[in-house]
Amino acid sequence: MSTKGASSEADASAGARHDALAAASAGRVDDACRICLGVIDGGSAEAWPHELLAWLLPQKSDTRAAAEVLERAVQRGSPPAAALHALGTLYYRLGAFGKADAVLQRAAEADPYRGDVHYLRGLVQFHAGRGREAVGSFRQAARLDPANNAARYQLAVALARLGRHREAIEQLRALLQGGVDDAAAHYRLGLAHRALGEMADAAYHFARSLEIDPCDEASRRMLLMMGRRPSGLRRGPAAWLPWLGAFVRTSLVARVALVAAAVFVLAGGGLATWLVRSAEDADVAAFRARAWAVSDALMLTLRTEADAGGTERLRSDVAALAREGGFTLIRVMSKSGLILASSQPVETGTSMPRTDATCAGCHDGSRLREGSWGRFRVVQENRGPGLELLRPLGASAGGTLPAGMLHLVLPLDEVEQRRHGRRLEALAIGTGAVVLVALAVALIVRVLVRRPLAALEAAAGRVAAGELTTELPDPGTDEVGRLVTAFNWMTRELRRGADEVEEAHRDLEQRVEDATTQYRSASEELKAANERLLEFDRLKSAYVQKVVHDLRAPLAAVLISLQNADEGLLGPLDTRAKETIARALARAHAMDRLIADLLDLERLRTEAARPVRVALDAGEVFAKAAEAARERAERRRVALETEGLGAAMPLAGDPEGLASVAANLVDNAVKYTRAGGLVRVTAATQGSEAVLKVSDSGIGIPAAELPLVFGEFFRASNARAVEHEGTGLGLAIVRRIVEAHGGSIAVESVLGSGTTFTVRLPLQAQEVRAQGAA
Amino acid sequence: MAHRIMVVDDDPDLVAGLKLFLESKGFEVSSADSGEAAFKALEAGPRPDAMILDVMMAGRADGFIFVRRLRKMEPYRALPVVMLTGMRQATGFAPVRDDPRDPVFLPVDAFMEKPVDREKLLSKLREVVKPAA
Repeated sequence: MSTKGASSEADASAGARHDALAAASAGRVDDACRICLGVIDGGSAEAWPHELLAWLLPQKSDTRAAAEVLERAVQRGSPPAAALHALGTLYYRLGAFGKADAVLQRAAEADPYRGDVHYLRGLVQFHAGRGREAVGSFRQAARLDPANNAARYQLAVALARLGRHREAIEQLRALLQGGVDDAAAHYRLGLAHRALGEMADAAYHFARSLEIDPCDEASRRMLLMMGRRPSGLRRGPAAWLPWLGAFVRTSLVARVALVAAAVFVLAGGGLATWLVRSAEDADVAAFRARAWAVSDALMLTLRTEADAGGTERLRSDVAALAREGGFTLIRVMSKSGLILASSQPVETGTSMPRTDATCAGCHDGSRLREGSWGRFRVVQENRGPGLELLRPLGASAGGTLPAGMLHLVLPLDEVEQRRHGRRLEALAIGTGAVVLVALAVALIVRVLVRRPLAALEAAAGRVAAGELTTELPDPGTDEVGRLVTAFNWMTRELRRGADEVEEAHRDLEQRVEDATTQYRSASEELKAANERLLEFDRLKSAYVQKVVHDLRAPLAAVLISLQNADEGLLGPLDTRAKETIARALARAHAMDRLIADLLDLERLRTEAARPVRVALDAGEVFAKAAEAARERAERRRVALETEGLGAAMPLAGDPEGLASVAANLVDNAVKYTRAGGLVRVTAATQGSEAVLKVSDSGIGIPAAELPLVFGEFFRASNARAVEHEGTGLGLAIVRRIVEAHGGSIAVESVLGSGTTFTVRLPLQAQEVRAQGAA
Repeated sequence: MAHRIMVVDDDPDLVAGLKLFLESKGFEVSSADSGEAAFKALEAGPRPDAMILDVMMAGRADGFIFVRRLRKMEPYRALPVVMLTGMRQATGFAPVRDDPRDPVFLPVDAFMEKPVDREKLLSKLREVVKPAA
């Protein structure tokens, strides 16, 4: 591709990008999408069209259409993780979890470091019911993006769904410690603690959640189900009056009764007032009626009796009427104010100043209660306060008496007394009615509300205690009834959940039991097999010992015969015979050695558990063994140096075993060192250990074969060339003896320049302590 | 006068070899091929100065039974006995040991492996018969 072509292509791309961005910012989303798709279809490998689509499409209201467009886009080229993530979001919104998961997996592969991809994938997996995978995704998301609290929260939710409450709690704690004091996190913590049976913690977190979000009905419900007061942490306005506050808060009945009482106090007050009012009205009416009756009577007298001593008759009538009617005063006046007749005879004939019948109620002396007495006026008479009525009177029929005014006064105390009595009555009736009605309401509320609520409370308590079969009888359709229905529903759901859990538990138990049974039978089989093997080993050991013994008996005869012949006890031998016999003797000795080693090994293998323990001086044992090898070393012209062999090394052990350890090592060193070489045997005490070192300047051991030297029947590849003799059992025996003494043996070697064996044996002091401790 | 040694073993080749060797060292050697034969030879006399005894022998009395029975017979309570065995002794893990002071162990003067180290046997025999000389 030419440089020019590339640059023009880049220009075209930049132009398209500009157009697309312009369209997007102008709100023409479809146009922008079209441009992007055009660029993608054109085979551009650039990321921006995909990224722009990823940004634009999720904003479209038609999710399905957006998904289709994006789906087409990501099929071309290598879409960036952002586009795949956007498509995943769309699929997730559409509920296409399978597709979403697949596309998000692609996104994760395209860019493994995007936490949001893992988070979304977790959500998808969680909703698809694949909790375990969801946990992995959320964990990954939280790891990649430590600030993604939502991922951590969802991780906790997914963990809790899997029953891994402890881990969920850890995650939520971390979230809370990270400064997110979130009601939902507290609620989830509460649920997790509750599932683990940690009720106190659970209650705390539910309460905390409710405190942060007072509308958190879920936490409130959980607290109620746990038998705790959901307001435990809240401070209401009634905290002032703790008792009343608590009473009103905790008792619905109290609340209803209180409200009812308030209503009825108002209503009762009104009623009482009305009663008193109406009673007073009746009094007034009665007084007026009496007054009217009196005036009617007087007017009749005036009309009928006017001429025949009318005035006298009027006066006596007035007196009689006042006496009979209980009036304080009855007075008949002319218009000019002359008193024609009065129940108080003294004033008859006198004149009243300022008598204005039309304005009788406007006297300045009018006082209290005037209003309540309608048109009547309270006046102060010499016989106490009274109620005054003025009525105009027509003139008498004969004209003897002029038209005038009737003036009546009724003693107020009588009226007042009656009125007071009426008030008390009304008050008593009102109060009684209020109390009765409040009681009735309380009773009704108790019957209608408190009782089903108490039953519900008790049932909830039983459910909380694990009695999931609890169900309340069919309750009807009112508020309480709906609550009961919801409760029954909840209980059923709980029961179903519990059944499922129990079933899963049973299933698990069954599986564990099966596995245990299998394991047990396998273990039994293994045990039996092991016993068979041990038995076989015992038989083999006995057999080996028997065979070896049977080999030794004839060998003993062969050896002694050859030795006798070698010594000339059978007569003089020629050189060839002597040589042959010497060789036969050497071979027979080698065979004896092999048999003896085999026997040793077999015995050590089977009887190492009870080695001989005698107090001995290892230094002395080593020194003897080294001296025994001196002759052979001299014969082979190998220098044998010893150092520290005289020093006392007290330990508990088997003298012959230790002697054979030293002898074996020194013999080996001498055997594999060429003439003129050097073998050094040193013994020393290091701490609580006796250390025997045997080093030579011999042929050495190939490094690859070093780990094998203590194995049975091992002979180094270069050793066979040097020495025919050797059973390959010596070092195996040495190792077993050393280990039976609680010691260790190590080897270092450089091929061609020498080998060093180091034996370490615990000294007696330690041995004694160890036995004392045992 | 030469010391008399009785060799009790059921392997005639070994007996012949030991006899040849010991006679070359100046001992007078008699032999028996079983425990029963040994008792008969002891009864017949002459009394040996020491005995070389194999552990594993055919017949009703192997070396262990033989030596226990022998020790119950008054004249032979102190007869020096060197016991030969095909078992390994050198490792010290042997169930029997040549410590005459320990009553648990066999009342013999020495335990020796087969094939026998002739020099050791010779020095042991010279040691145990010395008091009689």
